[in-house]
Amino acid sequence: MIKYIITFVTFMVALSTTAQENKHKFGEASLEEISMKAYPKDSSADAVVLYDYGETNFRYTNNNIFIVLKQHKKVKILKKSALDRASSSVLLYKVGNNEERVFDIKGFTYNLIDGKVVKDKLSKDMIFKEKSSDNYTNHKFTLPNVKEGSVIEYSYEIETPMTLSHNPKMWIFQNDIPVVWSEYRIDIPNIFYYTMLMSGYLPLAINEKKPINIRFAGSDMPGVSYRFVVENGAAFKNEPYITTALDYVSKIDFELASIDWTGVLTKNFSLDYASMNKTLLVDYNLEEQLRKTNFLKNIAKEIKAKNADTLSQWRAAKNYVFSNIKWDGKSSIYSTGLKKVFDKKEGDAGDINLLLTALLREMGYDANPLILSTRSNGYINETYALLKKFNYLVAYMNYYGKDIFLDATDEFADVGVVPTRCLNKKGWLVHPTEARFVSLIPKEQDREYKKAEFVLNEEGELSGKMSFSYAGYGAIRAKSDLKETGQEKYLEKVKKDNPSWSISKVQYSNTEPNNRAMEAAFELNINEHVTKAGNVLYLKPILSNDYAENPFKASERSFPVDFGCSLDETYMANFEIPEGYKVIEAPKSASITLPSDGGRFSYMVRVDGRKINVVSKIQLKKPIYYAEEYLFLKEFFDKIIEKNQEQVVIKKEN
Amino acid sequence: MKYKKAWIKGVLTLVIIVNTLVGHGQNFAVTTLTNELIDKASCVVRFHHTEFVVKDIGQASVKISGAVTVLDEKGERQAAIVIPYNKFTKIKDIEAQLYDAQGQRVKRLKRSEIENFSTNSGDNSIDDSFVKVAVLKHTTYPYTVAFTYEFTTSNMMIYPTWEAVPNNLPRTAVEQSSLTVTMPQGLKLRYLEQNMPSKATITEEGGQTKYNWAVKNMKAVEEEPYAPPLSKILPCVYTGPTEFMVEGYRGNLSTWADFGTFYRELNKDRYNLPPQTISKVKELVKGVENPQEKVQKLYTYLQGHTRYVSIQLGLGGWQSMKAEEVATKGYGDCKALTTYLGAMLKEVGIKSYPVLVKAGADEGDIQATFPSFQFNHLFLCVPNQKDTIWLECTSQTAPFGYLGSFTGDRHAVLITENGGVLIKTPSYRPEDNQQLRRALVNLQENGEATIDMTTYYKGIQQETVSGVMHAYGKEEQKKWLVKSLSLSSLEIQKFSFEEYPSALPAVEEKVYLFAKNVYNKSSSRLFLSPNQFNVVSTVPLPNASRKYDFEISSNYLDIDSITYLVPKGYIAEYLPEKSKVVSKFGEYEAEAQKVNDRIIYTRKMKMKKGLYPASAFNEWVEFRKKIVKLDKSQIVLVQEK
Repeated sequence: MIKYIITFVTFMVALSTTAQENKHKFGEASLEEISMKAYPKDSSADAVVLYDYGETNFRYTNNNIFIVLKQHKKVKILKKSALDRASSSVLLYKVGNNEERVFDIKGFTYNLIDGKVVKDKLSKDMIFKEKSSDNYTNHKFTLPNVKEGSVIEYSYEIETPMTLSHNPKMWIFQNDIPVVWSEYRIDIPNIFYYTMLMSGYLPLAINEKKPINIRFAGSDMPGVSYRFVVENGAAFKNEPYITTALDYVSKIDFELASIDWTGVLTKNFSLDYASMNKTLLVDYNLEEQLRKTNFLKNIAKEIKAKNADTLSQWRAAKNYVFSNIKWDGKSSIYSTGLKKVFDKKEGDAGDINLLLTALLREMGYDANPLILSTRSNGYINETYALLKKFNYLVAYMNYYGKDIFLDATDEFADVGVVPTRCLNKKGWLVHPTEARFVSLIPKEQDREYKKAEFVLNEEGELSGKMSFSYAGYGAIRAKSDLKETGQEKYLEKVKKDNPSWSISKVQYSNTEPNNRAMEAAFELNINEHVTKAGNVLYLKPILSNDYAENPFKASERSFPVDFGCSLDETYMANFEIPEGYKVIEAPKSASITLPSDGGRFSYMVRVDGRKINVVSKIQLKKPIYYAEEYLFLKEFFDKIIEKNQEQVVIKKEN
Repeated sequence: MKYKKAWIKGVLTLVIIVNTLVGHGQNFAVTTLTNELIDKASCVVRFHHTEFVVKDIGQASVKISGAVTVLDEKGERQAAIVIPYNKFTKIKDIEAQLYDAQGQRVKRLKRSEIENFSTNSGDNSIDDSFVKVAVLKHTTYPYTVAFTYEFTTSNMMIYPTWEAVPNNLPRTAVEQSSLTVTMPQGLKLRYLEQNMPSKATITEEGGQTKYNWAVKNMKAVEEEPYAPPLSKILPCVYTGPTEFMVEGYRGNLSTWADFGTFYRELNKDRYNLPPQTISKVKELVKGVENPQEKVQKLYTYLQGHTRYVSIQLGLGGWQSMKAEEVATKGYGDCKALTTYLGAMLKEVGIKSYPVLVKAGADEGDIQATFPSFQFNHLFLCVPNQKDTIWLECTSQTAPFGYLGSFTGDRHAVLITENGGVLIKTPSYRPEDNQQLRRALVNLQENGEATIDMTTYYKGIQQETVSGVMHAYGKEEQKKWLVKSLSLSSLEIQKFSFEEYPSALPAVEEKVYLFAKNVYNKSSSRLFLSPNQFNVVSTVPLPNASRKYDFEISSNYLDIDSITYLVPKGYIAEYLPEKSKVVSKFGEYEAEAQKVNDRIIYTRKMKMKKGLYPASAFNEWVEFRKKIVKLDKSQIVLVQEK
């Protein structure tokens, strides 16, 4: 029987114990620490965590199990910009009288004054208990006499009743400043079985596990003691186009899989996906909720009567739920009661999409709930089932082998696709017999098509038409934007983005939720785009300003670039130049591809008498690019920018 | 027994509320709303009544009743009940009901639906202020929330400021809104009306004096870009006490002098220093003769040995921590740190005064003619015949004597031994806020270039870069430079900052970088936009029917001088003409010259801070448009045949 599981995701490498021991006694700071002027491993750091130590134990008192975390942290302040780190806080959760508590907040500041170490104590009047809201209390403390060069240190103990949370708090090894030594220990009695999940990009310097005897609930019982250390952890740096920083930072997290306490309590949670599936169907009541759907019978009947084909029936069901149940903006993976939600006319994503699943079933379709983790909530680990990592539910159907997703929280995500916020690798289909992972990587792309038809006069003025067409994920975005801002404000934004455009007419089509491309068409004059120099005109045929700056400016990158979906953009323009003029120089056609057919950019200018035709096409074929592909991606955008700036030289013939 | 009493009180309250609502005879059906009121509105305040009853110099009660019809999502905020409170406030009852579009009641607010929040969250901010929040929402618009709540306050140094449009928010129409202030015999009310359509109605009744203000049928306002804040545009009434009492302190607020006297009283006996600090102070100024130099020494000591932590406990909003305490803890808020420096200066025989101010680069000025607690910050002033020294005590990096955009150019109140004195803090001219940039751009093949650039920032223009210099690590500084340069693709190879602190401080920034796509090349031509680093690209939309005046928020002067080294063998095919645009808002000049293998581009732009009339708005748009166009102009070079 496998008793404990530890996973190392992606780059996390478990090294053997070669690291030097690093012990810090509370209440002491070495002269070396206090006189340190800069951190040699990262000279840009304005502070450095010298020591961050956490230790979790289980305690049994008064018929209650408590998870107790002791934390001890020591920070060196190197620059004035880091002075705010002298204030910290402990946030405690509570529900009624069931509450977390903090004990022994202690702290010291160490300064070097006239060559001597001066130690100031955190006194009671520097600790403030503040009620943040009905469910949270914050204990704030601020250390005395902290200045450039100070070393600060604090420790405390947080006690969490297991009735409030089953799981030890996540331990994060990395910080926004470098961490010299981050150590986490946990002693677990064998009656608790935790799935432990490590993730991030920093290697472990120490990774130990040994059997011990633990004094728990009045007796000695076998248990396991773990110890993890990250040494010299670099400061965590955020980058654009990632899901959420927490996906990339080095950390360890826990979820209770089972309790096996003979004679007291035996309970399985979600050790693997099969039992997680069962937990959802039984404990989260999904199965039963989807059976008691009688109250939807008449609505189902009506939808079927009004809509003949399958697709329009699905759409009608989704629209019914969208327009009758208001989304409160929250997400969940279950419902507190479908009938209740139906009557209240408001609910979270779990409520709404489970209701949609129920309605589809009433209509005779084999719809099932699919749970996932939204982009801002982070990645799902496919090996180990951590139920709390899922935060969202959509309705799912398999229709002749095709994956159909439905989400009634989003007006514009058409039947078949999930909204952009859900584009996060894979979801779990909750099903009594056919539960499995379903890919969320969309076949649908973010598609844009821009078309321009202009006549150029001798003054260098352009007059004509321009249309923007958005399809796929582009349509979801454009339609939502238009609805949210309103047509008037939307046009104002177009005008502001393009100050040289005088728009005389605008027309929007396909703005309603459907699978067609939305189009915004303008009739306009552009008087300040072309440079006129005597009898020469210089025309930049790309009229939009979409690619003026490279989105990737950093010279290197350590995380993947995650766009969510692939992209396809086409720009096509036709210009007619004035009579008596001739193109004397035109940009060269060019094309560039990303390695292993990951993307393609092509640019072409054709001149035919007084007609100029320009086509620029950008394809990013993958939703996610690896860090190794970063430099190619950066170069790819540089090329786009370069070609976007090129100009046609037009001269009057004598 | 206790329980029963509470119950009876509850019933009584309920009766009163039902009566109040019936008394208004209000019908919450949406059909009664006129199209005029709904136009451009997200919500309509059906009625909103504030009753402020002063019991005596130490106590008052506030009762607010209202009803708001929410028309769309943006209007929901106005139907939320938000009640700030602290230890001076006792909230008695909160009642609210939700009505649908037909005016049918949907539900009542339950006690469990009222949430409590602390008003701050940062670790560096300690506060005992809270808010109660209750939100009633219906699933379909429109709907109406009616509410009544009451509280008492014992913080009588502050009287309410009444806003005719609650929270001064846009998209809010008002059917009727009123303020009533009741003063007991012998206590005088002070007030200031701003943009009010009519003056107060004053009535006497049994020795009490009642003041009443009301507005009716106000259309929703729309925000306009660059307009002063709505709090300056919409009608409101400032009220304030003459005599008052708070936590055993008695005061009078009739004049700024009274105000200062009270503030001094509140903060007296807070200037004692522990013996170690006294000897340290003495040691620091030993042998220093010049008073200004003494001040400087002590200011540097303050900056090196303290840090700012916001502490707003009890009367702490207005009462300082003791200097002694700051000396031992090494931190404090603006009052504490100012007191501490004041105490140190006193120790060496230098007189100083605290200065109360409404700080913030975007804050409007105070109502200078209405003495009241309109401030959010405090700093220190060392008076001097010729050269008054202004000292910001909460920053570890602020240059000695510099106030800048945070507290400069506005009214403030000096707290002297003779009471408060209204003053104006120093302002900075365009020439004081300069940005001088010189760059040498060495154009290479394929649109690439190396750029050697030195930028000198002064006055308010150095604030951002000085912040970057002090608050960021090297890595972050580099990121900021990349962002601020807005070049299409670049790599910074070397950079440095150097500061020149003074009462008009400056920072010099040096950057050496490599950039791509600096110019565009065809087979025989080279296209170059000579203004690469300081491009004005946004223009507000013209508005012929603009209602409000507009503000240009800062004075500044930018001078760029960029030299391009051009690859050999090119002659100018097109050079933009020398340009000059002059308006009442500022001036702009640009010129590009070809001198041998170089192109020298110069650009000068000066903007004047000010409040301009709405009628001049389109003129300003035109001025900006011209600049945007000129900033984009390009040079075309062609290969010599």
